[in-house]
Amino acid sequence: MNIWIRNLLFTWSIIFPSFSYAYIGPGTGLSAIGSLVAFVGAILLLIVGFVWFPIKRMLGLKTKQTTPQAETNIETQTEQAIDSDPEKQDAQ
Amino acid sequence: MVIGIVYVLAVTLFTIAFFLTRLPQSCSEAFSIARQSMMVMIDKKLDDDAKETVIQQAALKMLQHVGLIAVKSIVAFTATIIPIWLADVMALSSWQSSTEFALRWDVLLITLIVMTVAWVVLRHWNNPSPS
Repeated sequence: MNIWIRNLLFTWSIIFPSFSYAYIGPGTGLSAIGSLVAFVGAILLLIVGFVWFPIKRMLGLKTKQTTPQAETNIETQTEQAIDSDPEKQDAQ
Repeated sequence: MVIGIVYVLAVTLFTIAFFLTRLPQSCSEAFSIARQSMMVMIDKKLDDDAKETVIQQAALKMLQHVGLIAVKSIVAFTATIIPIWLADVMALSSWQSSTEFALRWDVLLITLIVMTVAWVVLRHWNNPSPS
């Protein structure tokens, strides 16, 4: 676009400001994205945890068990998962 | 003039409510749970029973975060609306003129710049780099 036209449009928009009805600020955007991720994640995890695994067990599609301990605490399980993260191992 | 004061009050109250409710932390925790659940799912060292338990707990935790984020967002937006509503009730500035002023792109741009500068200064002030 010609630089003169661009400057003219910019000046015109400063003199005659219009309303940005579709504007989403950083705070609103963060909360919108956060709630969307949490909602979609919750739905997916609910399906996987309460539907997929029981159906899988019912159909006998169980994968081989390699670890006997079935910890019920999410923190300990996720710590194990994070420890196996190659990025973290590289950092160490 | 009155519209400007109402706007500044609304933005200030939103910022205070936004940080007091720890909304960014809740969003961050939701991302963290999603990431950790994904890692548990792809972890070959865990058996299905362990994965099921962990995923079920993560799902319930995530549902809790959905509610938390929704409530916190409502609190933040209510705090924003209060000065605009009060100005409208007291006939200082109408609801429409206040919202139209708040949605002017030059006002939004100036607000964004001011808020970014304030955030950077506050962050630097709270965590000064060792020199």
